[in-house]
Amino acid sequence: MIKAKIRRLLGCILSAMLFCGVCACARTETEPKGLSKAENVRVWSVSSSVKVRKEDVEYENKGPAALNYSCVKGETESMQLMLTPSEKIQSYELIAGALTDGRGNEISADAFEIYAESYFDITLRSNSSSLYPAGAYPDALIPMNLSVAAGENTVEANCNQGIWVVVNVDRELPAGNYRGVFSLKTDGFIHSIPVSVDIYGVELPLEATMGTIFLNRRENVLMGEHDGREELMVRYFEEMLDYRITLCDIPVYSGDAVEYAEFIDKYFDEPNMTTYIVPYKTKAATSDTIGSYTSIDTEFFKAHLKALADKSTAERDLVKDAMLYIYSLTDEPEMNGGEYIVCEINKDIQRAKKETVNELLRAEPDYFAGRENIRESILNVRTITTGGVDSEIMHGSIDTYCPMINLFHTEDDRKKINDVCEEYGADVWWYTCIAPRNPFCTYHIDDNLLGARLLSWMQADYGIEGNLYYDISSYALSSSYDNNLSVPCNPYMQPYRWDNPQAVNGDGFLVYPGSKYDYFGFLPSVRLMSIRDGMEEYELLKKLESDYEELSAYYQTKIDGKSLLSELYKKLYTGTMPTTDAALFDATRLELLNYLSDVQGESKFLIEKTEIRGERANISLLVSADYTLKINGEQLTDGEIAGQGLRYVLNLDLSRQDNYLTIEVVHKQNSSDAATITRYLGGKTKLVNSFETAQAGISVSDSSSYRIDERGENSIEGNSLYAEIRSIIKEDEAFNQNFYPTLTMKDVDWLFTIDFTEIATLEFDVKNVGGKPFTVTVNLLAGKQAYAAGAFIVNGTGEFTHIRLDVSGISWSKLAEADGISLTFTNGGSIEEPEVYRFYLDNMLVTYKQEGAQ
Amino acid sequence: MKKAIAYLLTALFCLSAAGCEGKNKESVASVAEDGIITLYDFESWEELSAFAFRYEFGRATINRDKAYVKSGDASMKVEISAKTQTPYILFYPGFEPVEKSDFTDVDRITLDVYNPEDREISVWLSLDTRSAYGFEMNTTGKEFVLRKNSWNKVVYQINRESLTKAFSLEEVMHIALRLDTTEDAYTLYFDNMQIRTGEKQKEYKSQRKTDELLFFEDDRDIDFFNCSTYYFVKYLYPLLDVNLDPNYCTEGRKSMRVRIPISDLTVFPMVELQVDAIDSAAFKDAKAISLDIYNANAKRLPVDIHMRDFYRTSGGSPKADLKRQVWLNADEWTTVIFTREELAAATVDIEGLKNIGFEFIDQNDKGFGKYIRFYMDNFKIIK
Repeated sequence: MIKAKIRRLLGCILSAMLFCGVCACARTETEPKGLSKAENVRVWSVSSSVKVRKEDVEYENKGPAALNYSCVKGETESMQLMLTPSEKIQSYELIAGALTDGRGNEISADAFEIYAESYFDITLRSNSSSLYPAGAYPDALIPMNLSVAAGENTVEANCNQGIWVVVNVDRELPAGNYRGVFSLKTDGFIHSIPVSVDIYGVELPLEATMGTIFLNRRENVLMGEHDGREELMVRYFEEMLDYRITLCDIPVYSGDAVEYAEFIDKYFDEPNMTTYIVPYKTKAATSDTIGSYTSIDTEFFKAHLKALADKSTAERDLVKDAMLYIYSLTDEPEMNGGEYIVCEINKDIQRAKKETVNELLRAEPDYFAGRENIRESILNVRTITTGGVDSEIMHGSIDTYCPMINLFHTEDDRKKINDVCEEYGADVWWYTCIAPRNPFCTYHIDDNLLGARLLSWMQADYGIEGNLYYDISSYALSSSYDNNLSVPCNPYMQPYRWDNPQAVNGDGFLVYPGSKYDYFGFLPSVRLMSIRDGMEEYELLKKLESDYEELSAYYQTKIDGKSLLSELYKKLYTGTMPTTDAALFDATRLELLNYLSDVQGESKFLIEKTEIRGERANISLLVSADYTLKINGEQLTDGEIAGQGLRYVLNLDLSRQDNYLTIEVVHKQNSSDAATITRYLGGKTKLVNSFETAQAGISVSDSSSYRIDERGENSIEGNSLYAEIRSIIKEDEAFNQNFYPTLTMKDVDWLFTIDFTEIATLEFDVKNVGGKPFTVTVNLLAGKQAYAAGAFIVNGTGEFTHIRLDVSGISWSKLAEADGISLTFTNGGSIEEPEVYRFYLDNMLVTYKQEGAQ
Repeated sequence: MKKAIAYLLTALFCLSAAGCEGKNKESVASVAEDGIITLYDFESWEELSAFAFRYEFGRATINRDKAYVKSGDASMKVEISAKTQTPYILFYPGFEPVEKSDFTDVDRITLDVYNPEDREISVWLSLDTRSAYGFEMNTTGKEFVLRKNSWNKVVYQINRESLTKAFSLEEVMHIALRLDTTEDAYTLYFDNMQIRTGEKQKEYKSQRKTDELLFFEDDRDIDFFNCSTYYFVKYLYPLLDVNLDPNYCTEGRKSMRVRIPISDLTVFPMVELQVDAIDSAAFKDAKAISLDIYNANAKRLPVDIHMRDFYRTSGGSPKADLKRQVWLNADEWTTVIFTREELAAATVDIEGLKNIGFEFIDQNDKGFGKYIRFYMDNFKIIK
């Protein structure tokens, strides 16, 4: 008996030993097991429109293990190849190869830039969107060869590793489809990665037109690079031109005006050089109006204007693109009571410009002979002031307004800014920084990468001339520790650069110090790549707009390029809030390329207008009279004459799963002169509720009411729903904070027929008749749970606003069970006067995802 | 059998301990051998990221050429461009990887520096500390002249006994390394910054004369001065050292030399005597305070002298002080006297005096690498 007990005890002890031994082994690093097998590494791809966290190994929209690009000539474009190994990879490397079109034309391997994505562990989040939780986000891009040399080209088991691959398409290359293969090595195993680049017969305009003021301070670069030499700052300046950005800080530190002008002269002909800043010094000043203040040193300013003028010819005007940005004195003046100071400073500047001209003429009466444009350029040098347009004190004083992007969000906002600028002859730029945050466009790390890119699309749409960003290289941490001077940090490990709970990740930097890898210059980020991509698209959008306008004469009809492009724009953003739907963006971008391609050809084909109403679309097409059109296989007849061409109007049903328009454009006399154009009109569209009759399942919160309005005056078509949703304010603060005025649709028939996992968008039209804007949150309901899917600002203009909720981007575990929708509002006002939201609701519809989309 | 079980249990314990033993990260500061702690060994780019490089600079890189390595596998190579105006490197001992900002037990800081140039180059070390009132205070920079083509051992002696009378060493914000400003570019290699702790220091007991406030006969007397500027522009901080030239003494054989870098910035370089460092009983029944200042420059210059019976804080001054602007004739001594009555009229209690500040309000000039100079001596109490 005792022996048995001892045997059992020994057995337990031995088992325990074995268990601990296994645990111990598990805690030590395993030795590499030799060559990695293909099945141990999942290779897949995503576009450059998304950030995939390291831990998102179950990312839903994985593309094939291939890199596929569609570009125009002269463009850069990116894709991401992703590795997800089941065992640690000790070494990986992607090696580019040449691509050919089968006709003797080649894209060389050198045209590709390959980067290893480096990740930040984000714990302090920049926003509360469930789409961007804490985790490891890619940002820094390390050239593959440097990553290999540093021994950083490893991947932990069950983690993603992104490889960012850029193609630079030579302008001289013929249009066509180029194919080739790259080699991906993982621990000695070689994966063949098919690569395709489809080059459209369109060229990116050579000259950049979008103005940029992006700051790059020498003291910041010194902190991160440990290098304060002027040549490094010159290198940053040059490299940034490759990203279509002209850095604000001209790297001439002597203060010598002639040296400055020589620098500008050297780079003036660079196609990507747009606006550049005249350096300034400050000086004490006094005025009768405000007494003592700090202004600019006008003699210093004048010397620089003169130096630029001296170097200019009539054809090469170095003054025209010069601007002043006096950030240390005139930043956000209405926030810090500096409006009167800004007015005085701007008066000093105006005076200095006139004095410059007069002094030049006094010294040499023929100074501007044959160069009158230079004189005008001096007098028109613009000063940019960050801040809004509301301050009447500064009206008439500011040359270039630069409000924050969220101040452009609604049509009313944009109209207000436009009206002030028109009235006072001012230009308009915009900027973003720590604010605004998601869901607006941002340059933040843990946020929607499309925001950085679509900002440029919005810029084209809203006619904003330039973009300002306050720092590309905050390599140190702004902290109260050290008298508010920056304290050192490792820029590759520190995602936010302000030691404050309000900090956001990525604010104030878009690049990384190359010195870590013995590289002379900066290393880019995924955000910088996205910004450049957007800026290229800006030029393409402006080109398309202009191409369309030129066709007005051909078709003898006003072709409103802006209006045509708005069909693209409205798919991608509302105001200054971008879509999160990367697939939608990628598809829309292809549309843009197709439109550009169309108008270049002899057929002069274009889609003049597209109106989607519920489940039908009205589409108007224009084509040269020398060409025929077939739509989805059917020849079109009965076109009406439009100038030298013909117009066809179609009415299409959008109730199929995927709605494509296949257009064949064929020359009447020469059938080989033909093109087939396919347009995706969206997934199946289903009108789910047009609020024609009263319905069970619609309810409102206490004290609120609704009815079906049959007058037909406040609807898109037919009847609509009118609601008055009331706040309830009590003395009970807890109640006030937890109560939401609500309109709910639950257990209505149509909701039972919808599987929200198949839905791309939920859309409806709302008309706010309350007189002032409100914010409505759209929630999806599943049982007793609610998910806040999106918030929208609706103007009080009394016009219908179309709300488009991106459902495809929602990551909610209960989405498949969603059985209701609610609209909630802010519980506001007072006990005596609670806030009331009055609106009409119509035409609620859903669109389905493209077949095969996840 | 019991023994077998005991052996098994022991083996079990050892095995699990081996498996469970994690790799404990020890902060650098806790690894001490004979009281020597290595703060920085300059082995990696990441280590350089822990330093602040300020003002005009060349560049700093990690050097792996063994000829210029004193410890470990690497050193920091600093290349300063020609005519670079006062480059600085700030080391933050309170941050990772060192995490030791309490220097109350530190006796000295040492640093190995190789000067490969054919001429002597100077560097200065100083401490920036946080006062008990949250204010940054800065010791004067001590100059070290580096021999050419040689390794140099820079030893910054911390006279704890005297320094702590004016400064709190509980939080050293930075060890500040000021580099020379020269006509030509130069290179230096830095390695092996260490501190030594635990030495017994000689008690500071200044043998003061009856009427002495500060005669500067003890070299450690300059430890009582905070050197700063408005906006903490370090490269314009005044430099203090002990003068032995009798032409610039009015009492005894030594005085204090004050050098202020020339700049066209208006930042009011200041030198503040922490009066608390001196026996406050000396002020009892004092009728006046007198001090001598020599303007060793070619032009007449003003200095604002502040008399304070309070400590300045990071939030500002709790009350007004007595400020008098004194114009100093060129190449002359000026004796400045503050009477008890004058101080009392400005509500400053002579017996509660805490701080005498000297603000040099006109150091503006053109002229690369130059200083304006003053001498101070014979701070005394008139009874």
